[in-house]
Amino acid sequence: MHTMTAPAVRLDAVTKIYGSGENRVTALREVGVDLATGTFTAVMGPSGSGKSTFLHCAAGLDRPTSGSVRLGDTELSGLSDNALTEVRRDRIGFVFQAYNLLSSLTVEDNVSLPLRLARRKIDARWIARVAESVGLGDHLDRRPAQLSGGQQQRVAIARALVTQPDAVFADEPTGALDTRTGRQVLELLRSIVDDSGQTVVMVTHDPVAASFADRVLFLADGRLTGVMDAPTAELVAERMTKLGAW
Amino acid sequence: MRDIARKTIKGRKAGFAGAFLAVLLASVLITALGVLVESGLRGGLPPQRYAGADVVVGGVQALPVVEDADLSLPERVRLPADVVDAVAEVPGVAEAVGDVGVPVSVVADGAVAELPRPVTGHGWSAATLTPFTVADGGGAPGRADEVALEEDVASSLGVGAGDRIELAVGGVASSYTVSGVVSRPGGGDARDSAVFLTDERAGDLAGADGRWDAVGVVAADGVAATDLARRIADAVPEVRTHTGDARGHVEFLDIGRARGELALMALSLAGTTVLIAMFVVVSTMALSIRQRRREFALLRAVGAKRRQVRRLVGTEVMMLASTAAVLGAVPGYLVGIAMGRAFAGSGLLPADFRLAMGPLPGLAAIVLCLLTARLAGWVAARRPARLNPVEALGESAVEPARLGAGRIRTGALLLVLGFFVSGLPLLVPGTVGVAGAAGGALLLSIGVALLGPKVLGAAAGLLAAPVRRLSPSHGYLATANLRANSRRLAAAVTPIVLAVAVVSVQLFSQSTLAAAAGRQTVDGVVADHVVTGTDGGVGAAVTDELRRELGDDATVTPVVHSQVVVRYSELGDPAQEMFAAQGLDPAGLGRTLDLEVRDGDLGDLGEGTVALSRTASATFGASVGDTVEIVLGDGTPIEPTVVAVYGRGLGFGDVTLPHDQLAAHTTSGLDSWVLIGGGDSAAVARVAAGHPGLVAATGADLTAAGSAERSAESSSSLVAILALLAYLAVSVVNTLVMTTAERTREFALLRLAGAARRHVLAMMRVEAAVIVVVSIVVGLLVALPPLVGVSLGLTESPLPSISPAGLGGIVLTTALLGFLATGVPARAALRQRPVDAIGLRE
Repeated sequence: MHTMTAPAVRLDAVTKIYGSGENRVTALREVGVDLATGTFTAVMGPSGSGKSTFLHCAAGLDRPTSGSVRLGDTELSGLSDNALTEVRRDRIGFVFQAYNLLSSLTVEDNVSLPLRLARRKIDARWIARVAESVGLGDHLDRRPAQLSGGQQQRVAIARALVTQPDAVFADEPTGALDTRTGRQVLELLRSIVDDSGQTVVMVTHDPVAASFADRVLFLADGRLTGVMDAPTAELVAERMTKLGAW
Repeated sequence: MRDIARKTIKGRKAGFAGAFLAVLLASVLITALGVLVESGLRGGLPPQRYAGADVVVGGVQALPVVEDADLSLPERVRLPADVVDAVAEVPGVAEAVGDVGVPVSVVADGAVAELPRPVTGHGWSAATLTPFTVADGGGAPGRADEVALEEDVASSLGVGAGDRIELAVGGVASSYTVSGVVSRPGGGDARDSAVFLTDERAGDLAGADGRWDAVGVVAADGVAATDLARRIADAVPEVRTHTGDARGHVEFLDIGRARGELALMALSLAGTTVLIAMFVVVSTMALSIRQRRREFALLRAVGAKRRQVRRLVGTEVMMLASTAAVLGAVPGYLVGIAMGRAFAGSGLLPADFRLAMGPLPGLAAIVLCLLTARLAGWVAARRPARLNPVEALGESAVEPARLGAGRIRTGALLLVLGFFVSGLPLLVPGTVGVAGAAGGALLLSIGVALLGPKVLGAAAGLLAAPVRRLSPSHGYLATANLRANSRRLAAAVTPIVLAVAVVSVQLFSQSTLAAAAGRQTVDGVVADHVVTGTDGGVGAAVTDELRRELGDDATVTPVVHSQVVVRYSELGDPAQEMFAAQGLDPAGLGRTLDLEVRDGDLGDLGEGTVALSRTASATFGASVGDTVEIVLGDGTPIEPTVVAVYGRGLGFGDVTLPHDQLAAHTTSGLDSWVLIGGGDSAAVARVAAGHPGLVAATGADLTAAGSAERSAESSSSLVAILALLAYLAVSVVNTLVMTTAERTREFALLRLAGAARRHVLAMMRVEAAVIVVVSIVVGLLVALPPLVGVSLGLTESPLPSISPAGLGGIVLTTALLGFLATGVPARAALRQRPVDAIGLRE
């Protein structure tokens, strides 16, 4: 499933250090990787391996201490806070584990939030189509509290897709869901890659979730320790067991 | 953004209720105070006795003050005799009549008759200004011993034309023949009853010396009152003209003074209220924003710029505030009326004072509230705008432990500044130092608020061990909560600390002042007897008679009281302030009054000299030998030389002038006390008994009378403090309810872990107890330095006098508020089934 077009996201020698002095923690060490356009990548690793930091740096939520992050042809590491915010708003979609939605806004308003923040005109038909594509066509007027956990994640995915971003980043999107609902969400992520050529990057610790991806990156102790193409749950689990033993 | 803000407010009503209430009540309070300020400028009474005059010409009854409200003069500024003719010559004047008034007591059977209304004597020509008409008899008094009575006086006494009655001024009675009975149009609800003497006799009794209190003008047909007033003002120098309701300002001098005091008091209170409102709105907004950290982090993550987050918070605050401010303005008028009534009840305002009701106070309150909210929104938005989306999303519900370095620096600076200001009376003597010290409470409170979590963490740590010993299981949880969530605790404690500190300083500076003044009066009056007048004062004839009767072995010291304005330089700027003044004769003073002279010699007090209290001397920077610029109560400027400085200014007045000089510049010219050292008490009693309305007593009785007067003063400032306290109480309840309600999940978790409802409630009670104890202790500690400063400045003793009732009231109110405001929402939070509550999203 590899495409040879220019990578959607490229990390080059990315190092991230938190704190200073005695509290100094190196979360990423010289990580370099290309995430191809139109692929589904899973990032795995034991707790504290730096996988969340990886996601945050790659998605422009955080700036690396050194190294370069490119989204398409834009270098993110040198951007001002405002410029970085605009990149997140217009070219990146996010799905977090929980607390994804503004509780006082309806599904429709939550989905269109990035467009509102960009002061773009909101085309109700487009919102409806995006909601339809994640299977929420009937729930546009509901509030998050009236939805199930799986439905809430679908709203988050719809919001991530609404700007037709260069890449969608998901941080443990199934972490708070039961197996069946989680599976449906993963199928949805898979389908947006297959059907509309989206680029999706997902952090997870669940081998089953990782098996939905085209490729799995393994992180340990802030370093990229391995790559697995066409993963299955068993192979991933086996590799993780080894990582845990290190 | 407006849209999102509107929906957020709609979706999170509960979270915004606190801030909404804070602004609403600020609006109520500011409107109410605004009504009082406006009434101070425009309110009063429409004219009664001058109702028939188109224009009333009066003296310049105020001193202009640069960049501030004019200082209203306490004594009547009379017009020279020739003003009547000057006014009469102005074209368009049909009739110009001089009026002079003197309060008189009607004497029946040797005692002052109880009449329903106070009685004032006037010259007969002024009767046309109402106009009075003759109801019975000949009307006009033709001779100095004739008088025309208003109907109600005549009927109360049961007299008519031809009968004889007695009228007394300052206890000096004379007998008159009733020349007629007169009535005013509409009659009824006038403030005073009038009796008319000949013009000359009225002038003599009033001590007016040919001058007039006012000149009433009847306009010629077809001449508009306002035009005529302008022409008169242009033609005649040194007068003020009044038309419409403003004529009442001249008629009722006491209302002019009350207005000045009212405006001043309401203005200063409004200033404090705006400051506190800002503080309360900022802290409730900050609290509600802290509860929405994740929401703001999410917004930042999906592409909201810092500016947009700031604007969102700003828009929310403004939407909320505009509604709250408008809603608050309406009941504000009612609260204004209620406060006006309370002031009337405490004696600050005349009971019939009419408040001015215009749209301005409401509008001003709305504008002020919006400005406050704008500022509060700006401060509150700084934090969420600075949020790093990653940190916020990753963070669990536990709050960040550290305070910003800037916050700690500012807090420390405010504390240092607060201590310094509290100590000001040691460096800067006089009123500046005392006022500064009182302001120290606010600085210290806000400093403590900024350092709150640190201070409270420390305090909770101190309390941890004893609390655990008292209540092993709940105490353990409670102290753990308090230490872990010191920021939440700080949010709860801060408004209580502020309330306790501000109220303590206000209340106990008053009681310190009152106690010191009382002590000074007790120690200062060394006279054996005191003669006082129940009706206005004691006439000079009585003093002469006492001197004659008692002979040389007694000292008779008449004391006249007034107020004077002193012009001085305050920290380099010109200032002028009103001070209490007394006039007395220094001869033989050692036997009647001990002012505790510190420097110079009171015996030198004579024409062109003055003695000052220690405070006054320090305030003006004038020692013995220096001159001070003084404006007497009726506007006469003098520049006397200081001959003595004395200690007991609080009890007797800060400025002491020669008796005859001060008396000549008061409206009535009467003495308030006559102190008698030595002499035969029977003789004193005999003289007093011969004068209706006079009472002979001992020095101790005088002290009691003085303290009653002071308690009236302090009770009117108590009304003001109570209004402020009510506002602070609401903000306390507000924060406690908010901080308790946000813990629904935590309570559910505890219950699922096996804690019964009563365990959780017991834990909350321990927490509330710690909060209450810490707040009261810290609040009183914060109040202490300013109080010591105030006490040093006022009384030279570092020990403030703290009324046990006041202290008890503060402690009880705080405890009650604290327990109720945590207990009720905790119970409400526990009413949900824990399984449901634990699923609630934050």
